[in-house]
Amino acid sequence: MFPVGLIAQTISGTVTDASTGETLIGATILDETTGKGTTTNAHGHFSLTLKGDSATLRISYIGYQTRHQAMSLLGNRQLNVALHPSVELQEVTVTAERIGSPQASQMSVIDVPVEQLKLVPVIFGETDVLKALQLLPGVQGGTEGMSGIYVRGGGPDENLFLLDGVPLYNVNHLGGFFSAFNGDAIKNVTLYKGSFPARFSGRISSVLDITANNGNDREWHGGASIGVLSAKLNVEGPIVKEKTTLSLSLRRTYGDLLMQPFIMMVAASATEGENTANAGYYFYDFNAKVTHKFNDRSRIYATFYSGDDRVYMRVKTMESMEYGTESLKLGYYWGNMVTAIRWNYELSPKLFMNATGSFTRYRQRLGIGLKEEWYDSGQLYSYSADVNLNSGISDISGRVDFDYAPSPDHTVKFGGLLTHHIFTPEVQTVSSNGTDEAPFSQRIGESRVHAEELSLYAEDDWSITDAFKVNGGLALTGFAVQKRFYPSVQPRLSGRFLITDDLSFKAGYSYMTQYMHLLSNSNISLPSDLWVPVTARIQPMNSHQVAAGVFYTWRSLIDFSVEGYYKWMNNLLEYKPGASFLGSSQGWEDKVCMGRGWAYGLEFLAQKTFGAITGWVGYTWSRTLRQFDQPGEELNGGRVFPAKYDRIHDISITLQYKPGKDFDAGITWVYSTGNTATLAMQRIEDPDHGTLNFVDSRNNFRLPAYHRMDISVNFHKQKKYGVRTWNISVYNLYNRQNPFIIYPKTTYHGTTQTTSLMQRSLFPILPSVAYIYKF
Amino acid sequence: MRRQHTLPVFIAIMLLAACEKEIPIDTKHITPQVVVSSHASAGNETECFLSMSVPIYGNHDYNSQHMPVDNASALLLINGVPSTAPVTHSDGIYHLGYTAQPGDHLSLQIDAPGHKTLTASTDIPSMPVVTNAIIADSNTLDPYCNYTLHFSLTDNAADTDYYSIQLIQYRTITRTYDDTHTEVINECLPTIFSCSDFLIVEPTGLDSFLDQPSPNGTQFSGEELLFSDAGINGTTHAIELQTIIYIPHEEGEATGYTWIDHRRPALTVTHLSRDEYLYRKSMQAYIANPLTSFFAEPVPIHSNIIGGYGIFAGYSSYTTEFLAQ
Repeated sequence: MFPVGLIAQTISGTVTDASTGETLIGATILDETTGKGTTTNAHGHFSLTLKGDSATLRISYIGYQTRHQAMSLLGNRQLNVALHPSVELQEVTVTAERIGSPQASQMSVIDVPVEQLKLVPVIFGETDVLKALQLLPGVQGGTEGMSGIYVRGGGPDENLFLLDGVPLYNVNHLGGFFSAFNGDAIKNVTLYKGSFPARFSGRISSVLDITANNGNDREWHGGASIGVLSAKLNVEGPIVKEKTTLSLSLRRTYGDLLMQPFIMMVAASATEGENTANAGYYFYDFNAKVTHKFNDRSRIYATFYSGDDRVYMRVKTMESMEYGTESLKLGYYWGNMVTAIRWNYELSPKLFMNATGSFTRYRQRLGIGLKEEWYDSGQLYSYSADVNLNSGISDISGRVDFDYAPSPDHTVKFGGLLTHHIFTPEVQTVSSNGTDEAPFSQRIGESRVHAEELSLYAEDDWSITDAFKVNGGLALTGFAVQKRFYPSVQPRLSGRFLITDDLSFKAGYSYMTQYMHLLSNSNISLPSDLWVPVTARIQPMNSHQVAAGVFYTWRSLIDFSVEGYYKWMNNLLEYKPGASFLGSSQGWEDKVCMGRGWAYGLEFLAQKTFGAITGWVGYTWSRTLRQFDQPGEELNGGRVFPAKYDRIHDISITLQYKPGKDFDAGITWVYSTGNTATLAMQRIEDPDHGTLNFVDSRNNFRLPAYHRMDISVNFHKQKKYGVRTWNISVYNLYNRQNPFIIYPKTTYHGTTQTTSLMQRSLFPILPSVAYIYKF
Repeated sequence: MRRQHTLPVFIAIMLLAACEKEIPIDTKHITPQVVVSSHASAGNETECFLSMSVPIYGNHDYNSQHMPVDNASALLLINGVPSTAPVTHSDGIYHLGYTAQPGDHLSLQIDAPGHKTLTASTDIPSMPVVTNAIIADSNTLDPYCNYTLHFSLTDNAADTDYYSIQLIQYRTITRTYDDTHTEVINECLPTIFSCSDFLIVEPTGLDSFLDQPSPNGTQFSGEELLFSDAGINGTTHAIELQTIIYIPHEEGEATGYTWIDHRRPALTVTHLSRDEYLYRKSMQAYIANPLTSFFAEPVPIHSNIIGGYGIFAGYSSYTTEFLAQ
């Protein structure tokens, strides 16, 4: 028999929002007696093993009142804590291992509260998580207005976007001007830029882990909003109080609905009523989540997401009864669908399990249909023809994750993932049928490519001493495709040395492998962009990244960090000179070459996440370089060249002011070095080939610097059934003419020609207004 | 009422005007450069052509574009030793007075008034080792014939080597005028051929006739196959080419003269320096896509001139005429 105080006991449970029942991710549970602590995982669950007779726990979370709980440790204890939102924000104490804080062993990770992201002013007043993340150090946007992200020199296809743990392949709407994430449906956003925990694999540059709202388990709430471009509706509430919840969110652009009558009227009036026509574009997102709590140890979640962009056109020509009718239909849609079922179960106070089964699909489909009907000698004849183009990727996945807290000094995570990928690079079907013709049907294009991806991982968050802590792990991954198997052993390590309670030094290393590529050679996100797997010729991409930094929290108010990183990337793809992917993936392996790249930089961040004034100031100095010098794969003569998004300086200032319930405002200013572009600057005379437009090197021209300022104000008013909000925002307040595309323009005067390099801007000053009602 | 209309009209004008606005970008720092064009081949006198580049942006007179540079001095160094041969020039073409030999290391130094010194260097590769070159008529449909060509290429294992394969037709037209005098015209015609040897074919990735993807790799089809020895390093590799050649041997009579048209197919294998290989590759891509497609990657033209633009690169060619079997 051992004295009780010498035996470690485990306190486990869940931390939730007292008003909604939502689980809180990253809440801190700290034993004030021993200084030992932990944080809640992605499911709001924690497990803390302590020695002693009793413990005094301090449970805290940003924006919530801190709760103190004294308890005896006579045995393992279940503790479910409900925290109340803080009225006086200054009362909040931020301690222990909040993500990104000096105490956490993880580095290169950013956790920005969704409520703060929602206050960031954005284009057309649309809350956009990805665009808000572009304002953080180490994260860059691509072209003006686009929601793609480039993290520490990586490409847009090197980011793993997870919605409730399930990958999303296309995160853009409207060519990339909007992201697929509806801010009203999101609870938590965490971005990993480096020092990746072993549980994440599959992309080499970043992981964006997004958790959807579970829904309020106490009472029904909802909201509706209408802005310049879109309307949104969301409801959440208990189906069975404190047992089963439902959360629904819908967003749709409505421009096509407004335009339809005009298009129909114009078509009819132009042809004196003989023709009818209709055309339009819209996108929508639909998020649904059902959560059921069996008991304190067991919960199940069902997540559904569907988001599409759709272009449609229908034209019907009515001629005389003798000649009949002719109709043309065109439909083009692309988007994601995600379904996932997750089951959380506390196997023991020390062992927590999350099992996930999921299906995710990205697909694009272009359909063109022609139908003719006519009369001849009183008999009706018809002819129809259809062309369909399909491509996409589907994943069926099974995943199991375990959190194991064997002692106060160890938090172990381990698990595995098996994914069956189905790539449909490009398939065309052509068919026709007619009164006088035999039916015809033909299928053209590559057949489906099946691939298996396996990942096994284990990691341990180990407190070696009070000051020194490491997070070490190993991921074993493999990809089987076309009778080949690509294995990868990926070590991950990050460590923290706590100099004082508020000051720490961290360093980390991670190796990542990626088994798929996105084919695209435009600056914008097009539906014709195609995901393709690695092949016998195209090897998996991989990256090694080391990072180190100093983290400091000033009076529990402002977090400061300085991080430096160096990243080596191998088997990167670039398109060969003259190659184009537009509209076809046929022979794509011939159009790319493989090379290597480097990215290095310094990131400075000062972030204030609570109080009346919140926000952050970020600055990044970075370089991103490429070299393709293998025989037969040379680009730029084998010499080093800057990547397209090699921006040396990147500054962002984001401030939000929320003095009370009735009013809040936000302002953002961003500045970055201009993108690079490949331009012919001179003409030369070649004896064998005549006059040539001479490009001396790849990405040889630096575009003008990019900068703009956005502001946003919200006026809230309590109404009888809820809160009404007017949102007024202005994008690009001082109307900066940032380049979107550049092109030469030549004019001729006699024997003289004048050529100017021109730029076209996309977004001038854009004011917008939105009406929001929440009940 | 008037104020109510002013705001939306103002906003609409701002939106449309700003989106359409075109803004010149300052490109004044782009100055004309000396352009060198010199391809030194074994067995031929080394020459270089010097001209001035013309900035694309700004005002230019057609008549003054691409002026040859005739007031420069050119110095050739052979294996580090300055050439003592006299250099003559006219219309920008500088005859350097030296016949390059395989194994030479040549350096070129150009001094043009108002410009910094231009330098470049290249090796003259060894002669390619081509053996057993034969041609077989596989489908005679005179005068158009499907031909299969075979030869072996022996690669040196020591270095990375680069090669070019071309098929040409030597055409000789002999005209005899009233039995009084004879005129002989010699032409060299490039010929399109295909090659399915996946050890040497390097796909160009161009949306043109050059590449034909197949389940096993990419078939080349074009006038010049450029490749490195990555797939055949240090081996004697048998290569097969397919082509359709129009090879008449005709005689005829026209007003005032009789004529004979005689064509002979020939194979040229060239051992390229790395710079010559990269230059030819870039030109192949440029010709297929001369910076005109918005969605295609732009094509930089390979340059190895320090202090200016252009190319100074060496090669050694072996040409053999085929005797049809």
